[in-house]
Amino acid sequence: MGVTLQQVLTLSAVLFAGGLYVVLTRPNAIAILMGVELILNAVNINFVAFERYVHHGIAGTLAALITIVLAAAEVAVALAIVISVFKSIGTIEIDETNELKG
Amino acid sequence: MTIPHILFYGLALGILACTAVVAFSRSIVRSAFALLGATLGIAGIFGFLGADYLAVVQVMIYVGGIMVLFLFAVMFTSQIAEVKATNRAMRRLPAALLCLAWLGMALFVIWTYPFVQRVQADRPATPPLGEALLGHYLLPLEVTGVLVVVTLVGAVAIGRYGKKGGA
Repeated sequence: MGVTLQQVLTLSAVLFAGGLYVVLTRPNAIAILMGVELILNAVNINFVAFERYVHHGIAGTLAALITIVLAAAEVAVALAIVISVFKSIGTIEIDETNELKG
Repeated sequence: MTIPHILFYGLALGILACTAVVAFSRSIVRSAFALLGATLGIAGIFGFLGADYLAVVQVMIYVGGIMVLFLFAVMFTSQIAEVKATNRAMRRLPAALLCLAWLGMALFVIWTYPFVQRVQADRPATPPLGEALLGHYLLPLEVTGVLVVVTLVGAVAIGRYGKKGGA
């Protein structure tokens, strides 16, 4: 008996929880984006695992592929926003960036 | 304990150690490199699960693209070392409790749901993927491509106009 679906899903769930913890606790906006990346990677592991163990074919790989591309696009826009916020406010600590039209 | 088990547990331990560094390191650069290690481990998991093309794409996009973006953003914003460990809205303990509660729920579902498992036979995955992307899944591919173009142009536009640009 090789590695089962449950073990892969457990890894993915722990990774998701770790990413969630990063998003919830880190004060730095860039670190929060890293947590989002961890969460997206956990979801990709789930897609691939279900394709291998339950629903054979290529749909899981395609979904994971599109998710990776969307993660790249999301990070590009989000980091541009972070840099823009840093230029206009001078910090990216999310506690300090609490005023609109600052 | 067979060789697949050793491989899988080794990769999983590496990924989770890197995740812990991302979560607990004070230095944002160290977090970025730990994220790099985690994504490399996840590429290994993809290869382990028979999705070799996805493993290569993961390495290319994360190492070649996203990690460079992260390091550039860290250097632009010049806040390498964090003084505070957590933000004001959420301290470590409530966040950890929330994550553990979610994890418990997920693990309960994973280990009680009766999955019907049949391991897919290993086969070359790339040729059917290319045929599907240019055939049945052409519309998602094109929509994703348009989205990437729009977001990259938008990223350039947003990053360009700060306070100095007059926005």
